[in-house]
Amino acid sequence: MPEQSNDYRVVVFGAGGVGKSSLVLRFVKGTFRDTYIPTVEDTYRQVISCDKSVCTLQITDTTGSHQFPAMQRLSISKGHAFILVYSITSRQSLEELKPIYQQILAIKGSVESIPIMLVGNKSDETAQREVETKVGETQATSWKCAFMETSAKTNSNVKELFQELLALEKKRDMSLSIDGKRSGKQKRADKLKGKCSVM
Amino acid sequence: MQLFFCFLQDQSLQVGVTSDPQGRKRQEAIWELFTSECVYFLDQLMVLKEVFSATLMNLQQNNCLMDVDSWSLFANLNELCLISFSFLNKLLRVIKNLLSITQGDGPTLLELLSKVFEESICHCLEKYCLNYSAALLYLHNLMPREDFGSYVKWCERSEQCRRLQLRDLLVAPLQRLTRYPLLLRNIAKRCQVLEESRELQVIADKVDTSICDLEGKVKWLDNYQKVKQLRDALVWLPVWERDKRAFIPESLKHLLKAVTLDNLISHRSLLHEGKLVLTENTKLIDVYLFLFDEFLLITKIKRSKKVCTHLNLELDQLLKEGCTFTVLDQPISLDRLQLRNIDQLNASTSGLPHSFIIMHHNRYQQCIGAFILQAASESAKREWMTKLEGAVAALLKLDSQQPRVKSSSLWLESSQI
Repeated sequence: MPEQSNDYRVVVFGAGGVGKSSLVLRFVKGTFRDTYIPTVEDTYRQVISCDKSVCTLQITDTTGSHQFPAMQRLSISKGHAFILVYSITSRQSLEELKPIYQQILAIKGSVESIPIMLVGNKSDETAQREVETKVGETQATSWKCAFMETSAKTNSNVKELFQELLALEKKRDMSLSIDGKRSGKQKRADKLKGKCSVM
Repeated sequence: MQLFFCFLQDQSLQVGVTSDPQGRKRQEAIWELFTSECVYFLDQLMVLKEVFSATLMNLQQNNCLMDVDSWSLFANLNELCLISFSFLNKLLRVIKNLLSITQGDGPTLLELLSKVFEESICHCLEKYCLNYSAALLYLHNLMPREDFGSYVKWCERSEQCRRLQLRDLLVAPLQRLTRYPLLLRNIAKRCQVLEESRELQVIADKVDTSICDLEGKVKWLDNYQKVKQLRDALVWLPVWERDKRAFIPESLKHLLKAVTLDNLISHRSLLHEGKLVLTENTKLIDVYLFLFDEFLLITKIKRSKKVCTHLNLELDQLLKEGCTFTVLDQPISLDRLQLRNIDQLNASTSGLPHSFIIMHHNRYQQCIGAFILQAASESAKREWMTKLEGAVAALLKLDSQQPRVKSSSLWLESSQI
């Protein structure tokens, strides 16, 4: 096992009940639970583990914290890539992502080189839809990030979500490699990607 | 601790034996408060204590890392552990009573929650949270040291960390605090007895109020630290250096020196800051603006000997690299400041995109300074203009209510500063 500090970290943000854990569970274990859904959850799951590289997914529940920006800024997790999840059945859940995005922007300085995915989950619940696909797309365009609608329940677009996220990382590497400069981190990410493509 | 595990294994199968679905939902919600507290206590607090804090203590007993101050890193971690442990024990007893596993005459759920949150949890977490940003800074400064670095790495390798890093664990109490109201409201929502539901809401509201209070204090502390750092980096040129015409013979300079007020910014809040480009004659110069609650400073960044490669560094980094900021002209009091937008048409004819003008008036409404400032983008420009207008309006409103109290705005004792 390599040292923890070398892990490639993906941080999943979203309000309670939008399906962060469900997405991760679906991706990691291929299952979906329909029983009791916890109010709060910030589990840490090890996702991709190959001989030299480990990719970890950290889930951060943002429910309630949007009223406390200074506290939120302190408690935001550091990551190499970010997944911002809302539920298409709740406009509020998309609203709650806005300060989070601003925080990431503030911490990273610019988001252009960072893989970020905006995800509208629960795409199967069309009857309860409150956020149109176009609204999500527009938001993603203004945030200069990628966008996808998923359903952890019906396993739609889940694998694609993670593939796309890693593909975004690849773009950065390519643009960087033109300069001929590569830091250790990017090399690690490269290595990681090589392994991930198997999945 | 073993006891919890056994109980968890036992009960996870049996919980929810109640046949009525609403009652079962309530049980599940209480159960979530309990299990999530277990995770917090066992996987986060105790790991910090047993792995990180204990190792440090052990090393220090062996004369290593003697200068590392354990309290600066972990603050009142021990207290947090004790409180969480005692809360778990009491909650477990309550749950056992609820499930009629034992017949006890302990406190009811409401009594327990109201007592614990009011008396210990919030207060204790507040203490921890207020130290947290200083702890992060301390950690950041220690990490480059080889001995400290290997200590942290060694600890993080422990299986109990589950690949979490020290930082992930240190933040846990903050995250736990904001979760409590959610957990409590969730129980309240599932209560059938109206009275009980209302009482739980009251407890949740109290926790909210205490977080709100803390938010104010965190903000205040944040600003205080930033301004303190900034104070040392700001350079105020004496008048004879600012203005070539103001020639003062060397022998007379001592008559003027005492007037320079260079601690103008202590006790102020910094509302907005950032880099803009100032058009000066035909030159474009990089300036850094600081908008305080009473005035605006336009400064020129002076880099330290080290060449900064990045152009868009944050203030924190600029300060860290030892940059200084020389105040151009003089502070512009917000009641003497006028803002002019340069609209699209004027911007394109003058070749100044994303720009606006700041005018400095004297008390006779004469313009004594004008600055054409250019932002990196239209949105950055709009943000600056909004912030400036807001700050001016706020100051004028405050002035109309009461005359300004000398130079120091008085800080209130929080509740959302």
